[in-house]
Amino acid sequence: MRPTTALALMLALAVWLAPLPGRAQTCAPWPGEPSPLPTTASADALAAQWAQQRVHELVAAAERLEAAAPSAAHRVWRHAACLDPERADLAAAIARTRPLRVHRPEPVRGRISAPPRAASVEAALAPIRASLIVVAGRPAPAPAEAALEASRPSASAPAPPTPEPPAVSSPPTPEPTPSEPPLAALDGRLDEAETLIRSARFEEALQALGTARVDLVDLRAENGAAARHARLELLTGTAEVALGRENEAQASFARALAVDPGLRLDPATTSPKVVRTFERAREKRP
Amino acid sequence: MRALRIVAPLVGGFALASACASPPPPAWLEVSMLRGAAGQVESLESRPERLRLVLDLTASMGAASTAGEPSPAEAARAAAVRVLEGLPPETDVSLQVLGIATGRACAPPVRLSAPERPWGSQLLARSVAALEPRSEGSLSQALREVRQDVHEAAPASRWRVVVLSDLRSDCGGDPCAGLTGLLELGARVDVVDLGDEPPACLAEMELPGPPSEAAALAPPPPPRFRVEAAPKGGREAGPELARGVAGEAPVGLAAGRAVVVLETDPVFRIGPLDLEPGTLTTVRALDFPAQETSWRAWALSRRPAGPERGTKP
Repeated sequence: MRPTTALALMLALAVWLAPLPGRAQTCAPWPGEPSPLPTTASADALAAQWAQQRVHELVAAAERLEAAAPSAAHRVWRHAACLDPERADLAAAIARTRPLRVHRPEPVRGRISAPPRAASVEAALAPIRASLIVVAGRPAPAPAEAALEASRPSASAPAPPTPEPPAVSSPPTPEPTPSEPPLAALDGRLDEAETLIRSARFEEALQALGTARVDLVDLRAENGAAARHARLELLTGTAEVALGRENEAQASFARALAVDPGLRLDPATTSPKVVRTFERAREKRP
Repeated sequence: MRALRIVAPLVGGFALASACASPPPPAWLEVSMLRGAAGQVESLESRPERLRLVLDLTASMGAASTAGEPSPAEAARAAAVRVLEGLPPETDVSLQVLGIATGRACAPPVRLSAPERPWGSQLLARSVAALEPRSEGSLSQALREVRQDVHEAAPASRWRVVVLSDLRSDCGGDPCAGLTGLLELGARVDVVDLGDEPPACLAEMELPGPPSEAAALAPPPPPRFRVEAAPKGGREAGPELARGVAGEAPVGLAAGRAVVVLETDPVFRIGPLDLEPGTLTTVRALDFPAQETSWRAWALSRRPAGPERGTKP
């Protein structure tokens, strides 16, 4: 055998023997765990039992971490999947909590330096926007809210007649003042959002409400803005309840209550789930 | 009969002498333990996320548009405005913008913060809409600065970073290293990649090892154990025969019936077992102390002890 051939063969062998970097790194045992890391399918029955119980406690830990520390939960989910690669729910949890997401707007493929289409940038951002909408923080009246409050007439949000969105029953709410021109567009958007909620198109409703929120920034000094603000938050909370976003819904209802602490929902005409969430938001108010 | 009287003491003496000359081979015992988490991960308080947008408006993003389409920079700017407009009013949001400072070819990133909350994000949106590309800038530097902010404003787990960029590094630095730095701290990152080819590192960016929030998941160290003779005559425990540490070398001890007591909390008693002379008995135990119902199991195997076991366990 020629030396060069032997060298090439040795190199090939070294490459073949080298562990796969990705799997070796991600499925390495954590401190205190047996090495090599067993799986639930290990031939050694005791090691397989250990893997099974270990998955059980990793899953419990990941579930506790996920809401507050999704990136940490992601690493725990991944490790659980190393121990039990067959569990489909672990793969779903890994995808759900992935800490780095790369979105590639569709450019004009095949062209060098072709810019991505504006619409495709918007499309790539859609899932990000949807998830960012739920980052609402703790509501706290701030100067802008105070300004809204000061400009608010004694009216509360108008009472829609059907169970969803919520009906405001108390305190007695006079009819909202007829829309002045600056508020007419805002009312139109709120009406549109309400129609979308009645049609169970909750994500679209939240988008319409996001636009209405921008309009409200410009109109916050207008007479009647506070009532619209309260209505906006009630509609937002209702859509969020429907989407199962309990925490975000409570935050929206709390904002509505910050604008009008006397707000009440009519339990006779409002979805019990919406009422319950609204009341929880009220109970949490300082 | 007479011959028997003569031979019997000889046989007995020979047996006694043999016994004194070579004692019966000891039994050998090896104990190992696989353990679960020492404690439980505590539920963390759910807090609102802090949001940082990294907006790249550098020259490479301003490539001439085709067929009336806006440039990547224009598309990114418009998208950032839309994101900001749609945020709940009290969201804690700020921006790191590249390419808008003047005076240098590679200008430092500019940080824009919301002037007030609530409605800060909506006000920021108006500022962003008016931004114009003016220079180059280093995305890597921008990400390092974001990392510093994340590091200083714990908990990092509640940070969300959205990067709108072509991920080019015309002003030096490695954007992937910057992104890894954020992930290491526990931030969540969305990258909207507006470039031609995504860096290869993006596909493999995963962090190994347990996160700091899950420190309680580490199994406790292997416990010590003692071996007691199997109790007789109604006693609770027999005399101690040997001591050792799980996972370490086998211990030698007299053959017989015995109980292995692992000094866990609570103690884990295994046996009685028959420890046979000249045999290595291996006990493997499982212990998950933090589970609501403590979960334990064990298994036993035996094999002849080799000569090395008889000399130095």
